[in-house]
Amino acid sequence: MYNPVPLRPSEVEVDIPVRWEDQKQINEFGGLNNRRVELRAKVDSLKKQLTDLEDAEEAVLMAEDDGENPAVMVAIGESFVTEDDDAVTAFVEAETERVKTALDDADAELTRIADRMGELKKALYGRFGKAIHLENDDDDE
Amino acid sequence: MASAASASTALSPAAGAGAAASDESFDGLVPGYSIRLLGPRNARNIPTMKFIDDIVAFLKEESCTTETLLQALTTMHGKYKMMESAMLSNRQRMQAKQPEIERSLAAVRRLQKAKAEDATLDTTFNISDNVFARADVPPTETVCLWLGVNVLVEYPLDEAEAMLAESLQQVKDKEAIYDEDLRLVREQAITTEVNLSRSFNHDVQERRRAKSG
Repeated sequence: MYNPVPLRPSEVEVDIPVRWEDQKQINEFGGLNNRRVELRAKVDSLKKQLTDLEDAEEAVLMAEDDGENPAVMVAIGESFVTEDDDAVTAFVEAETERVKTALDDADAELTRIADRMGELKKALYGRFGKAIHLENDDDDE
Repeated sequence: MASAASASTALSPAAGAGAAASDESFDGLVPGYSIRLLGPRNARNIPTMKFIDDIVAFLKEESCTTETLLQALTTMHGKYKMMESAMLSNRQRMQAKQPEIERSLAAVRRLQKAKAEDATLDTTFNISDNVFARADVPPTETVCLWLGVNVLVEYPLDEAEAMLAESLQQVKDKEAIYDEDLRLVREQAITTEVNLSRSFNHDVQERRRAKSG
């Protein structure tokens, strides 16, 4: 999960000195990279929660059609509580809203991180060229 | 040698964010070495890594060989990596606690709601693995909380809710501290890596020069 940003032992004879400001950029890049890995895992889990909630919504609707109400149970804590129609719908809606907001926030942060990493990449490659390696093996972008 | 002075004072300000302002008693020595490679420590005593501005000047100032410097840096790199993995597992444990508390909190809040509405809860609960039973829970004033170490304590609903909310907050606070330390440690590890590879390059050049000269 941790992807270091090593400087390759330079093969080129001309050694570009690393300045403190370069080091700060390298550190920032590494930090953003870690944060991105964490956020991606979070986004995956939120997306799964959203799918589960969509399934739940559908199941509630089907139970309504069957006239089985109020036989819908909601898992609260370690047990199931039989709730009436309105309460279940409200519960699912509130949860969906919460997950969607969290997902939007995570997506927005990922975009900000990608932008900043792009800037840093440009600056660092511009200065160090082939002497620095900033790519991820799992990078699909 | 103007850069010699800057080498010794070139502490990492990024690390300074979480570092205590008054940590002057700290000698900055790498354990087992007499090289002052470390800067201010943060509130949890995590030392920062100095950015070596000018390797030649640094070696002269600390009067040590490139080889010793490489060894000291490698030692610190190992330490930072160890701290990182310890913190990762601590944070994971903390994160695992969170949904547990949230579930308990949701249950207590549902009981509060039932009490407010004076309604009986129709529940199906787990009495053993794969065995469920139904129970009507009449409005209740109290609930029992498992405090661990084989202790179960009965609390009024509101007190139970407050306690759970507090421990949830505590877990979140601790997680934030781990996040901060983790960020600091990883940053120091990267600085160490860069110091290492630059010292290594310096070593190679030195040897090459010795050979040709």
